Amino acid sequence: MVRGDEEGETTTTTVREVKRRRKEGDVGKGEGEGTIKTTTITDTYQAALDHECWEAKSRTEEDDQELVSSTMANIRSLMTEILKLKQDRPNQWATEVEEKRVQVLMLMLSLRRLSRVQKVRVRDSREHTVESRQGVDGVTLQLQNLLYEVAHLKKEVRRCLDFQSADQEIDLVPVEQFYVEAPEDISRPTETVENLHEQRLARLQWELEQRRDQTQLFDKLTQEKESVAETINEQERKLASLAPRISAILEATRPLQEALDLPIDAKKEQQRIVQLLPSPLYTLWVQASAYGEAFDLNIKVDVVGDIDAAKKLIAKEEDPRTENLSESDNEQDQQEENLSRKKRNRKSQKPEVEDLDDGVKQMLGLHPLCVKITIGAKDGNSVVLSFFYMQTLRIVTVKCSIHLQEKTKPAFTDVISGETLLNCLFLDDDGQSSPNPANYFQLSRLQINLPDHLHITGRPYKWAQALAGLSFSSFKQPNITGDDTQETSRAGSPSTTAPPPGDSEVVVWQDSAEQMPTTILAVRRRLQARMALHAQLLNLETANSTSSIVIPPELLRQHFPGKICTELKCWRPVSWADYEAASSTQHLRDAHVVTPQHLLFSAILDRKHVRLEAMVAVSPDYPNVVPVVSLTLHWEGQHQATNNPQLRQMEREVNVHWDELVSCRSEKLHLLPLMLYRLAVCLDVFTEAYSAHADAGKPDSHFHKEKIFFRPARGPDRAFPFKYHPKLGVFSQR
Amino acid sequence: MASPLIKNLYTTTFSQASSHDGSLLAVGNNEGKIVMFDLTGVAANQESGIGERLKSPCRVINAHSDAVYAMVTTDAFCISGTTGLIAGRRWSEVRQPQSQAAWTISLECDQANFGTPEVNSLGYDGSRGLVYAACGDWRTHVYDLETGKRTQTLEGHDDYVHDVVASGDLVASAGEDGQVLVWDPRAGREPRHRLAPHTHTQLARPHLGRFVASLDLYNDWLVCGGGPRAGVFHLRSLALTTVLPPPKPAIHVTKFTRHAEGGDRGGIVVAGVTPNLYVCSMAGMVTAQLPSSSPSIYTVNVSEKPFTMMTYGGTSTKIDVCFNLNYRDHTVSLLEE
Repeated sequence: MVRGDEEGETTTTTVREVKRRRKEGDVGKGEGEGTIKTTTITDTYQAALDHECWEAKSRTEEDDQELVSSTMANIRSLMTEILKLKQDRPNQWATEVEEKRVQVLMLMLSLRRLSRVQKVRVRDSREHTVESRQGVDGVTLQLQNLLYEVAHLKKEVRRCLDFQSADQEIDLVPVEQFYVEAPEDISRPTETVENLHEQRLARLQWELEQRRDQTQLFDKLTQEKESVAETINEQERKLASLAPRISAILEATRPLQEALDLPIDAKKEQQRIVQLLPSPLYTLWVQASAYGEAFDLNIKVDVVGDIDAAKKLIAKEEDPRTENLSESDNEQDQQEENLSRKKRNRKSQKPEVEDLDDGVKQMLGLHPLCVKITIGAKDGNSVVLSFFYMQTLRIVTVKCSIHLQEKTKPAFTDVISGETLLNCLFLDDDGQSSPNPANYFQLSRLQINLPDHLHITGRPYKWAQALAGLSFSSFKQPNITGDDTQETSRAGSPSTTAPPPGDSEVVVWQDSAEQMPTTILAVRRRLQARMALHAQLLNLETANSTSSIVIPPELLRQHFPGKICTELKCWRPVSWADYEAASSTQHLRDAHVVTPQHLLFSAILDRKHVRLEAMVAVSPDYPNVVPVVSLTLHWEGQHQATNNPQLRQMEREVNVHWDELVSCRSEKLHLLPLMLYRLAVCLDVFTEAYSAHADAGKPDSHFHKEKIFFRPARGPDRAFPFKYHPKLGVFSQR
Repeated sequence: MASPLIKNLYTTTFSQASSHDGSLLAVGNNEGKIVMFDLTGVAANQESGIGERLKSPCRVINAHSDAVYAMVTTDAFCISGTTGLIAGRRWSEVRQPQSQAAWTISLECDQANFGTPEVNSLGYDGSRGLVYAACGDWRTHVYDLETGKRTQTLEGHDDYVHDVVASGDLVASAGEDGQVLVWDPRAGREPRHRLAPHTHTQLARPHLGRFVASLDLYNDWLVCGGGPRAGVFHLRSLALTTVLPPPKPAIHVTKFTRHAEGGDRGGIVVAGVTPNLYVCSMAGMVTAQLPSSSPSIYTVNVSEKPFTMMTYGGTSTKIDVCFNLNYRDHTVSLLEE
């Protein structure tokens, strides 16, 4: 049984092949033998087929299975019998075998039929399967259609649910308020309290009513407003007509004021002019006059200049056409002007240089008004500072003049002229270049060298910008807190208008207020220092001996020994070129201790045949910045600080240790003569200490020791005793 | 007060010392400051052969109230000498910001005439642990570092003593009086040899004076210079053997360099009131002339271990650095950034 199952498939395939072959054989035979026979055969074949179908239906597969196995068993037993007969060979074995063979063949036939029946059964079940599968497919398709329909319907439902009605957007009065406020005919409480829809309709109705009312109210109020405006206009016209009458009255009172010497009007006039000032000068005026009134009655502040021109300028600025006068507009105007000028010039054949000059003039143009501050000193001398505003460059410039009580003798070097007085009032502020970084480009475009024009325009000192409240990014490092204060100051003071965008300067009046006292003090001190320096220079120019150097006697006693052998022979101013040419000054120039800003002098000091040449550089900020000397000694060759350590010590004594000579500011004013005197003393010591060491070969070059010192040299650098101890009257090394 | 800019123009570097491990260089100036340089980066790169520059000072010590005239190094200490005082600082501590002097020795000031004497030069004898101080009171004081006591005083000069050197058993000192005295401190109070370079016509320069500002010892050889020209003397014969350049300027530094370029022969460094430093052979030939950023040179420091380095400075705020004795490698500022 088991084996049969396993081999079932293979047997069926072989049976199928055999059958096909037979069928082909049948067809071939049929074709060869004739067509009539085939019809009958076909019928028989059909009958056989029908029979097989019937058989297949009438029996089950299990029955057939048993039938097959029994047939197989029969065949096997018959085959064994045949084998036995063939081996034993009894009588008539051949017939018996033949008989058995026929039986076997018959059994084989029945097997074959069973196989065919099975085939039919397989075909039937296949057809059945296909049919039922088609049914299932159809149902599945239907299901999918239905599902899709469900989804679509759901979407539609959702859309319906999401629909927004127009009335939902409208803000309505709350329900309670509605019932309180709305009249009965709209609210209809009986119908609407229960029915929410009706309630909503009623509320919408009420909203509509209210809105209509409000629109009406709005129209009414607008009309009222217009009528009020009309009345205001009328009254303003009336007021305006009053002004000329009042001014006429004021005009009429003027002779009376003059007769009574009342300054009311002059002050008013000043106030009026002040309004015409550009904002930086206005800031300056406010701060300076405030400082003058509060602290210092010796400060007078005036505004002078062409008032009409200033008025025109303001009118022009207010003209809407040129209101936002930016750089490019400015340039355009200028170009247009140039063009029109050119047209005119073409007739007169003027060269183009004129045009350039015109551009330069416009670029360097000053505001017609200037603020004049007069700073008086105790001794009656005064400094007048005139502040101008350069409109295009947006910087403040200063011109200075000095008014002295008594006329002074002129010196070779004029240190009290207005031109140089304010030079380097503060550190690095020579007023040679514009503090506004934007100016560099403006000037270089027109190829203007600013220093060439400063004698006309005045100098743009940095402190002047600070006083005028202008701060430039390069002048003051911006920081967060500083920015904050600037913001508040601009918001707080309406007089300082916010600068047009794109400008680098900012008007800050706090800066100005902070700077004012220090600046005025600095100017006063500068004048004092320059008066002192002038007197010293006058003295030195005429001095022909050390003793003729004017030094207050108590300072002389305090700092120097009684007897000086070295004589000051000559004192004269030198140029920067001369100073630069002297090799002894190189280390000072390299270190930028001395610049061309300094006032330069040459002093010759002699002791017998020894000559000391001192190049003296006096800072414009003397005596705050101390003069420096550089020395050249002519004695058996030329010595300088670089090739003579002792001479370097001498330079150091004068340049570095000057602070021992002065203890307060008033003494510091005498610093220059004190330093020269010390130089003379040092040369005495130098010659004597040097003589103490050199082998006494040449008697004429030997200097007798007159100063008291214990050791002519000390330390590895063989220092000379330049330091003087006034109490002991001796010299020692530092 | 004078502006620092002008003050710096007149700064003078007087002395130098470098620690034995080659990690620190100390430079003393006229304002009593000791400027410390960290050489560890240089040392590391010197082995790999890559050029490295000295960085700006790692520390500036306000060491003394007067100029730091002299410095010398021992294994543990950086010893500095100023007016009336010798101070020792541990090399291991000088980097720390608040470190103080480990010990100080005050000079006795017994002669009113001189005021407080200054220490012009310091010499160190490592084998006996003695420090020699050439002082302004015409004497050379010897201190025992273990006890801090003065063990001996070498008297013989007729003016202040410029320089003192200890080498082997011998100690040599040079003075403003023009004498060079060679002592054997064990033998007694009298100097063993006396030399007077200004008496040699080849050396004498009367217009500069007779002072001997510097000297150095090496075996039987002694080199010295000052007002007279620099010259090499043979100690056994006391004969002048070589006259060294330069001919014109006063000499402030003469120094033997033992294991420098040129093998065993060694070289001599000569410098003074001239913006050049001369390296000579024993025969007096100039082997190298190095430019200096200081117009006058007062101090030259040569260290051979762990790498060859020469630094020299004087009348400026810079020192020049060489890694061999043939050319100047670079210049470093002594100012703190």
